[in-house]
Amino acid sequence: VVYEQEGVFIHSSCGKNDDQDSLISGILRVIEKENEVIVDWRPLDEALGTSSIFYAGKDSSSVVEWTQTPKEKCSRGADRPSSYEAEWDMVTTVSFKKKPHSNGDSTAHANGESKWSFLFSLADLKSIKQNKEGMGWSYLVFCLKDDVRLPALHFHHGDSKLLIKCLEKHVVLNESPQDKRILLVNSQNKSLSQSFENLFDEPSYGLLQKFKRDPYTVTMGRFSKVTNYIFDSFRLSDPSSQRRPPSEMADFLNDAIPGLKINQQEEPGFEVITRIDLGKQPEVSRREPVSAEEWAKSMDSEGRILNADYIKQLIFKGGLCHTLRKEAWKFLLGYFPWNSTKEERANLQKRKTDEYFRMKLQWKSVSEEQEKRNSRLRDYRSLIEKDVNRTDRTNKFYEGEDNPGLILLHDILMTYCMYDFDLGYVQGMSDLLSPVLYVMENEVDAFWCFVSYMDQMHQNFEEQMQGMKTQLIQLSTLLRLLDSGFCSYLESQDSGYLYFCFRWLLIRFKREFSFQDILRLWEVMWTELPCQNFHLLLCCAILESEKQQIMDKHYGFNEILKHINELSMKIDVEYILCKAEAISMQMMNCKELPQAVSEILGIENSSVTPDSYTGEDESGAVLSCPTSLYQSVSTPGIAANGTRDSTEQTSEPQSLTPA
Amino acid sequence: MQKHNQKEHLYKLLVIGDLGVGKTSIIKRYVHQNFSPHYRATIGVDFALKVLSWDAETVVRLQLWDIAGQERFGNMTRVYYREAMGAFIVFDVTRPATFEAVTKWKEDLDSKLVLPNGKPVPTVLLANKCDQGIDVLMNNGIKMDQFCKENGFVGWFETSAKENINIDEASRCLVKHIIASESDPVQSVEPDIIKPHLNSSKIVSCSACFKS
Repeated sequence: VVYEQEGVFIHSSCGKNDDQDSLISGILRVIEKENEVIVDWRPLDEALGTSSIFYAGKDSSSVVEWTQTPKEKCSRGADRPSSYEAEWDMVTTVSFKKKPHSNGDSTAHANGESKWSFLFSLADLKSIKQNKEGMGWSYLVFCLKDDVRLPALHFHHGDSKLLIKCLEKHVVLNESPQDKRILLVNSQNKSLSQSFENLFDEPSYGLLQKFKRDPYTVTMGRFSKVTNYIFDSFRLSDPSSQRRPPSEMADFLNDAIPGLKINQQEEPGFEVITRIDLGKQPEVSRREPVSAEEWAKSMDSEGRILNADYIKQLIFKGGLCHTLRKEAWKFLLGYFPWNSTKEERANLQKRKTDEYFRMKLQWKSVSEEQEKRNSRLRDYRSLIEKDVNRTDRTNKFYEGEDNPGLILLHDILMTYCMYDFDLGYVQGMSDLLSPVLYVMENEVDAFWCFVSYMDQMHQNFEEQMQGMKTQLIQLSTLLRLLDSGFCSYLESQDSGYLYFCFRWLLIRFKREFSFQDILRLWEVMWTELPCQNFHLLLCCAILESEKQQIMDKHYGFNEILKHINELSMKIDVEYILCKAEAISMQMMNCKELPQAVSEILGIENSSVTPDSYTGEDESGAVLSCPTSLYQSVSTPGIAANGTRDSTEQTSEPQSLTPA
Repeated sequence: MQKHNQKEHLYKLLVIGDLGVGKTSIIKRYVHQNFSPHYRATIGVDFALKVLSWDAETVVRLQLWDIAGQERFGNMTRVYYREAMGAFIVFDVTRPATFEAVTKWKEDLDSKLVLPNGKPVPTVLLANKCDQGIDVLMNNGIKMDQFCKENGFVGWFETSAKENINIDEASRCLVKHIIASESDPVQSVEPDIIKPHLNSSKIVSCSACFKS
């Protein structure tokens, strides 16, 4: 035996079509024989219990015991272990369970876990696929020459590189030109083998070279992977460091590679997740809600809002006091133009009132006979009646039987069907209307504010739900920049599509916060500050807050969904607004923001060219100056006759963030 | 705490069916023993856990996945099916259209989810709101038995979340079939149709629902 590693797991749930959920701990060995080298993995119990395993593969050079082909796996045949109890254990306890180390126990799992054991000759090895970048631990997938892919081996105890090193004594491994994660077995030319050895010998040098040469987007993605190499290689060169706590290792790495940021985890399970370039998350504080006085002060004698951008900044930083909402929301939602006079608004309201009642009359005057022949209207009506009866019924405004609030909800939604018959009514829309109506306390105003809000949200509810799909993709792009390790983890749990954010996105967190908190959250989002799609950064902020628990407890597909779902009413709105704002600052201050990200956030990409980028510079220097955040949003369109001059423009924002 | 030799099972169960048929109400009744006509419309999915002392040695934990019925969300909510062990499909006896949708739900379920042995997951059909006393279905018990057989349901029940009718019974029926299919992965038990009005003496109000 030339190599032996305990704590190598098979995650039997990782296959896309597999619906079990268990980890099988095992021992990986490399065994040298006369003229071949055998790689052997088997479950812990078995490995401990039997000594005959070394001879099990004597007569064959290929897969002996692990007989599943990928096809069989897809059909979910008999390969599933019969002990459901063991599988559900994972769901209930969500912690790693080591099987007892007793020899007598080995038979108990004979039908289940030993199915997964395998061994093969190195001569049959075609390639090795390594873990995705940035995963907290490493894993390897062996692919044999007959294209059999063995289950992924997860090195929870770290040392996949030791294995690679060991294998390299016997075969030459080259990075595949198509995919750097794949190591191809090359049986001929040893001199062509590249970079790996270098990487081990001179980790910091190799890394920096790579870092400087590659454009940001490429490096960014690869970086965390590279770190894992280094991490392991340090361990290689210094065996005593095997048991070093991750924090110490992180310091070690930081010294070796200036500018490399390591996001340290308290728990030892997932050691190093790297994040570069975004820098530290700046401290952000929020201010008091805008007061009636402040609001009044910002209006001229005719009722124009003098400096809309300034007011929006105040609202972004602190929200509105409740008495102001009725008026201010009309501006925020775009029902009232910011530079309109009181008189203009009164005229507008008159017009809009007529328009509203004209549309309301349309459905009101449909006779029973007509409706019989109008299935769409009938369906909309029945949906609306169902949903109105169950929208925020614990809120005073909507509670009790025959509450006038309910009738208003109903009538506004029905009128909206007339306003946009193609869309009609889709579940979730009553959730969006309810707070608006609650604040407006007026049918017509609520309707038009709702129309504006729906303009933003329309795509979420369309037949193909394109809005939802786009947002999920955008969210994953943002999350990847913020924390590629977490993204990879989610992918490894088949949760990469972030479906668990469905409800957040569909109705803008309406169900995740208390009614009062939603009023705050929405008015902040309606300022459209500090960047486009701020709500996606809110998602990022929440996810980042939950990341540790999700990863530490090794949540799978079901648990992630359940966990995220059950965050409802447990999130602190002010905290999460601060965090999301901090993330926005990180991203906007990022020198080389990936194009895709700047597009999502709607920021001008004033990026420095890669040439002028100096990797060695302490990235701390890039860090937050809050004013740049405001400069980027406050320049355009100051109210027409804005008497407040530009000096106020630049000085005010700083007063928003008392340090 | 759990007794030393007790076995514990955790099953993921889906509750699906058209919008507004009472999926959430059934779950709330089952888990929290109460009823309100004002439960919010489910967006995406909600969860509830019910613990059953199945027998002296077995505790069964049911993780109930309450999945939104709105058709438009279908594409996105189907991902929630995975790894489920059983399902309830619910319709509203007062709305024939929701019954017509039952086969659609069943086909959809079977196409997206099978047990490890390749069989469809055990599914029980719930005819909810039977307290409303309106028999729009024009179905009698025999027809429903036939319907279940043809469509692969392991049983059906007339239920009322409001009046707490038959929900425990329906759940026991489903769990029984899950345990059976689990312990004997090759041979599934014969579909048995449990007629609530014959089986259980405490249910009286339900008989009004039957034409027979």
